[in-house]
Amino acid sequence: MRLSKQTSLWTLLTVLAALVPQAASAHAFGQTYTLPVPLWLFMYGAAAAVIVSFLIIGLAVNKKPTGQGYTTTDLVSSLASSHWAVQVLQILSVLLFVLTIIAGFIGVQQPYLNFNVPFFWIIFMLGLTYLIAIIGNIWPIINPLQIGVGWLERLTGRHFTGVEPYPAKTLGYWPALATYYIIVWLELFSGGAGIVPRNLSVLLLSYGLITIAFAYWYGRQAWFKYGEFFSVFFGLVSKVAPLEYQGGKIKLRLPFVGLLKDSADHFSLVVFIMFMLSSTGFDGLKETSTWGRFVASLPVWLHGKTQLLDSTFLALSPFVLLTLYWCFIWLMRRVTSAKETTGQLAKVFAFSLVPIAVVYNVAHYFTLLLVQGQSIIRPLSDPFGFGWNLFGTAGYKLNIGIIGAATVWYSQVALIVIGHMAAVYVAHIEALKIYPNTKKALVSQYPMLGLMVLYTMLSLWIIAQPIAVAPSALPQTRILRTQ
Amino acid sequence: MDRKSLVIGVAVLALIGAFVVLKPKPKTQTTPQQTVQQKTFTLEIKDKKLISGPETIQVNQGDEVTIKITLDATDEVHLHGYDKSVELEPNQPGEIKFTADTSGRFPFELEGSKTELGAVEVAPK
Repeated sequence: MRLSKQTSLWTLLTVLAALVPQAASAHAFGQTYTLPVPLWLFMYGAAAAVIVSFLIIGLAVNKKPTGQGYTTTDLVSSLASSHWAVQVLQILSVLLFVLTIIAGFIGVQQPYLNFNVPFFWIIFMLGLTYLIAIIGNIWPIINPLQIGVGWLERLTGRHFTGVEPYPAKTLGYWPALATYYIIVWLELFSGGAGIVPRNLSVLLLSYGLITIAFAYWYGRQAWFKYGEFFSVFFGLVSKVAPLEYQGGKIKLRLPFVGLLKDSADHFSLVVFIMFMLSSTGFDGLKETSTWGRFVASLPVWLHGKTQLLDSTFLALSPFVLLTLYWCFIWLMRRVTSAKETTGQLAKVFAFSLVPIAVVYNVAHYFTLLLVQGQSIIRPLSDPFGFGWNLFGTAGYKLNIGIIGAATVWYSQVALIVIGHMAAVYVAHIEALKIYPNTKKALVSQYPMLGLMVLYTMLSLWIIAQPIAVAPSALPQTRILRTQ
Repeated sequence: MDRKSLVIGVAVLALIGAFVVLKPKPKTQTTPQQTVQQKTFTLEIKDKKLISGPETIQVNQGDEVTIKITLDATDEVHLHGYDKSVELEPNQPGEIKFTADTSGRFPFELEGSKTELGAVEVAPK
């Protein structure tokens, strides 16, 4: 019975191996058309972040958190999972999942003419992430794979309680993190392989089958908690939302306070959060001329090996941020002479970095959603590129002027500063929870503050850097372009 | 009003004040003539590389931009975003003309060989 695990791993590896040699370097996402943030605004954002940090710490110092650390108001007191609205959402979600897979197999293979590429990479990966950050975690309800497992359970008449218990201590969230790496890699460094409609369908189908196999093997609950990437990712993102769902209740809360409810329960989740920050950061950084100069300064035998370099740096990136995080946590432990180990403290404070990660993702990609997200309008009328025109939108041209460069700058900086404020606030409340002595809690926050200012500066610095023209040695194919 | 709200109020005002002071004045005020600027750039491309002309073409929103291009091969130059293209024959100059009404950074490339040549940066008003 070990077979199912191995077979699914092999399926994944075979699929990935088949994808690698497909094309040269490419940026799967097309263009954002954003200009680097001007220097004055970068300085302003940086200064604002520092000032508001001290303000928050100074003002929130006396607040003693009680219970889970925040209050909620019930909006809807009972929403049964059998409610028609829930059922409609679920059916819609499964239909979209099936359509996405079918479109890649039967439709034309130009990414921007097929429904599945813009739908998965932009509407789902960006749109749903931002929606969940606003309306809370609807993913467990609409996850087509959860629904599929539910149907299988009903069909076979047995619950997926697991053949073997999930080794949560050792494996933790590593499987989800591995999937996360593969997804980002496909998006950015697969040489365009991730945006070939058929490849995308093969990947999604394999992912669906692997998920169901693991849900069967380790049990549904364990796998959707630890192993299924989207559940882990959306679960973290939803903690910043002002809404939460619990036992059929929809509750209103302050934005970001959801992060106080619990803390990271495994080291791998800390690394996962680091990767949320670093994958976006690295995507921004590698476009800059500073990075271009760095790559040019590498030993000659590495020149031109862009894909290898990018893949390696992407894999190392979370550990760079983690090292930084660890140093500051160690410092915090020293100044407060805490009885907890550095590892324990690292887990306690990890969620406070989620706001920085989420806002940075939004700041970096929201223009992509606004501009390239429009590329879903055309295939809505003609999902397979067969020349249909179901809703009369098949001739739609992207409106690139939907948002001006100045508006983009102001929203980017505002987002980053707001995320920073939220992070400082959450970390401070966490500190008050573990240090009964307010003075100690306050002292503990200086290293934390240093760290957050550093991360925030890094985010701001990256979006303020001049963008490099891709050297001709690494041609970029922009497949999701305007035409 | 307690001390806390006072501190918050002062901080918010200070941040807004700093923003207003730091924000550069709109360009239309420093150059009173409202006439549209004509800007022409000449690019020469050999061996899929830009050998003369700016890699980053910087213009202001509203400018009338002309990019004259000479290529040593048969290919198409495509400006993203504005979605303008010109088909070129070897050593026969061609041009891309447009009004820069949308701000942002728009790369242009050799369509046939998928080589990025440079970008047009349109500064907002």
